Amino acid sequence: MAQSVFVENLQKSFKVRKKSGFLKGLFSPEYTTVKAVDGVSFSLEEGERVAFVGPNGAGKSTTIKMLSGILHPDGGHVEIGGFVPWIDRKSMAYKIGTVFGQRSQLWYHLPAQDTFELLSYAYDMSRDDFKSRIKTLVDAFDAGHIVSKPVRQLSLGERMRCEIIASLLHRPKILFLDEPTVGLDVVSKGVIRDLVKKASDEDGTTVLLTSHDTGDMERVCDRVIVIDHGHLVADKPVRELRSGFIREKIITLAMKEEAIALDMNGVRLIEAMPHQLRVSVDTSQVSVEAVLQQAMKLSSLQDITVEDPPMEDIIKEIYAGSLL
Amino acid sequence: MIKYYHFARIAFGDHLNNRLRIFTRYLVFLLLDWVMIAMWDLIYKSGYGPASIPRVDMAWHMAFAQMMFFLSPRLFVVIESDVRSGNIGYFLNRPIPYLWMRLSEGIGALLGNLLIYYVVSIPFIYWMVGGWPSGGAVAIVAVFVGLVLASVLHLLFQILAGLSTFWTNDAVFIYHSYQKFCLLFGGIYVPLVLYPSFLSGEVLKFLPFASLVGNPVGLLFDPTWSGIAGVMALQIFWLGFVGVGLSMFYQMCLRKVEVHGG
Amino acid sequence: MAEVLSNLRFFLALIRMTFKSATGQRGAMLIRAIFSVTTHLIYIPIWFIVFTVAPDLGGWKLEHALYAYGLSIACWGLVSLFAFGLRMIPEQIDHGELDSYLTLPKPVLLSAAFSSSKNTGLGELLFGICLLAFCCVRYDFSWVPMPFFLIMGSVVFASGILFFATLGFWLKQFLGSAEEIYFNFNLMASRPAPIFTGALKVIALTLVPVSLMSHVPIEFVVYHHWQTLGFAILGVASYALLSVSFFYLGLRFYESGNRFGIRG
Repeated sequence: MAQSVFVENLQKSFKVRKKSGFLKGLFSPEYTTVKAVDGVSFSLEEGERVAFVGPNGAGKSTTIKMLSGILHPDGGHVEIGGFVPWIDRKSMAYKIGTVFGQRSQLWYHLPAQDTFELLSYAYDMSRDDFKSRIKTLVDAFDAGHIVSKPVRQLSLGERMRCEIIASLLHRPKILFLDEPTVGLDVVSKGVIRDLVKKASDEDGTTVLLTSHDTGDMERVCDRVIVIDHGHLVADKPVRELRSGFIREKIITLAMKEEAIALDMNGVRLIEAMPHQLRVSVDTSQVSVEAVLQQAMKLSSLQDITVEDPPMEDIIKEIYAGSLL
Repeated sequence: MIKYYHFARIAFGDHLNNRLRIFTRYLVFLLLDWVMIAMWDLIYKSGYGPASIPRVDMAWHMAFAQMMFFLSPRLFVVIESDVRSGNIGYFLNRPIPYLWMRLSEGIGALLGNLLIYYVVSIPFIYWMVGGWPSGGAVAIVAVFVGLVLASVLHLLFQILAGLSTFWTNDAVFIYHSYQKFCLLFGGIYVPLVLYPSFLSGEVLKFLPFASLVGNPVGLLFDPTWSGIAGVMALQIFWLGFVGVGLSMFYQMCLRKVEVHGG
Repeated sequence: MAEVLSNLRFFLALIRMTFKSATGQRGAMLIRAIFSVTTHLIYIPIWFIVFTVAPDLGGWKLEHALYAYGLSIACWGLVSLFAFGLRMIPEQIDHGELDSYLTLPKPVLLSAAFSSSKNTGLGELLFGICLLAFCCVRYDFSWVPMPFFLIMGSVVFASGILFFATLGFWLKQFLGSAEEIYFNFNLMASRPAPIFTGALKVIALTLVPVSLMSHVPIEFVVYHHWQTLGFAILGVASYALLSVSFFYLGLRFYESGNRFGIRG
């Protein structure tokens, strides 16, 4: 498969002014440099859906803004669909779609359909093409009743649906989504995730999304790139994060006995209740099988559940550096 | 009272921290001063200068008249933004009235400006004008005192303009209208004493616009104790009058906030 | 050529949208237009008073001051009505609002400038044109160059706004200062030309080219100096080019709201 996004040693710094006296600050201000993105490299295949995650201030949005041509990097090389964003910004713009969860491209006092029409001129679409495309998208997004209402009257979830329609209008090959589900309720989040995934499946669109919500990465993406302090700290398929990247399993046992003691190396008690025990198992020290055998020796088991820890915990651990 | 002092103190520090804004505003002020002084220079050179006012005094008058608008911070913009964003609602449950809190902040920033404009402007104006006013240092000090009260009055008018956002959704055009009334009735381009008979300067000087500019700056021509007392008494009257009016207007605005909140 | 046509189509669609959005509140628009006409009328007695004191300012009389004011206020209105976005560029920079324009395949400046309209602009434009028309009727000035002067003055004013607004790429929270500059830029354009001598004349022809906006047109109306007008047109084009280039230079420093720390 061809490469859709190629990023090599990407760098971006910001200057921050130091606090100083009035006159000194006026005539010779001093600055410190903060490296927001420091040598990030990765690539995306066509049609791949990748989550770009990291704690606040990690450099996610700065990276995505450099890839979409908004910011100029200080160094490194980037190719998006064969274009260098800060050199071929206009040509590249026909190939990409963007959604910034915290910023809107819709005109506040007008219905979203007016913005769609304006964008159709921006992307040089013929009238017939625009009409058929908008019909397809409005049907697919079940948005017929919302696109004719002024944007100011829409709920956040409805507005986000319109934002995504606007970003897909010109059939982009690559979609950049910066926190597309921020502030949405659980139902709206689910709708947005399904719609993005569906659009990507149908058109083979490459998706790069940033989010703080692990649900976005689990429901939409195949791969996760973790960034912290401007550095790339992990780049794995989502399923590998669950099965291979972590060395921890959660076992919940239900038994006839009121309580048992599982004293084994690598086993840590999470919660003990009458007739129920919840432990964490470090699989690098002891296998799940050995733990279960020991439990069976000590009790009459009625039910067993073996789980991966929640994705949020995995990401938290990656941020903390304990899984690296 | 102590809490108002602290709001003013914080605003003073915050205002002085924004060096760029101060610097840019000051440049604009100097340029405007320069143009107004040049205009009156030309009038005197063309032989139309009033015999009763020396050229140098007129030039200082013009410079100080422009200064009044630059001394106060743009408080109406802050209030407009509070009203439009609805943030004003969040201030209402504090144990300090929003109105007087913003005024304290305005006064804090005003003090910061006074420090800069009064100190830095004297040499600049002297350089542009080419001499001291005939009333000497006393005249300058009298104008400075008058401009402090004028600036506080200007802040009250700005708050009025800002609160008008509740009805107009745009304080800027209200403020610009008020500014134009000041230009005409305040004696900013031409001292009130030179106004033609149909716009009697003797009557205009009792209006609040004159208390903002024409009267305090006019002290340059009459730096006597009686002159100063007269100007300040009128300014204090207008401060009280506008302050009470503002307080009543604010109560009307509060009801508007309740309506907005449903 | 295809790109120019494509940009033109987008521009027309953008203007249509801007007006549709601005005229959404027709009542407010009308009230502001009326209010704006009323308040601008105040300048007439101000100039009347000035010219009562000094009937001739280096060759300038009341009619010239009124024509200059009409021109400057009509240009202010035109720019506010069609390209209010220019005035808001410092805020667009601070709030990261250029992001969505940067991801469009069209010039950023086009979207940034023409995406909003200020409805007081209509009143200012109408007032300015009425004042110019009054001067043409009352003082027998030629009508013919008026539309051209309006375009020329608007380009100067728009370029001046753009030039100073661009400083917002480097200087944060600049909107308040920028607004003050724009307002006084416009105010200076209505001041009599003979005031501007020496260094002031240099400033009025370069950094703050108010002379190109009102002084040269009035000189042409009175003396028909074609050569001066020719130089002025060249000056306007150069200033516009300089401002646009300066904007695109500034765009390289755009931080899209990602800047660390705000106050220093």
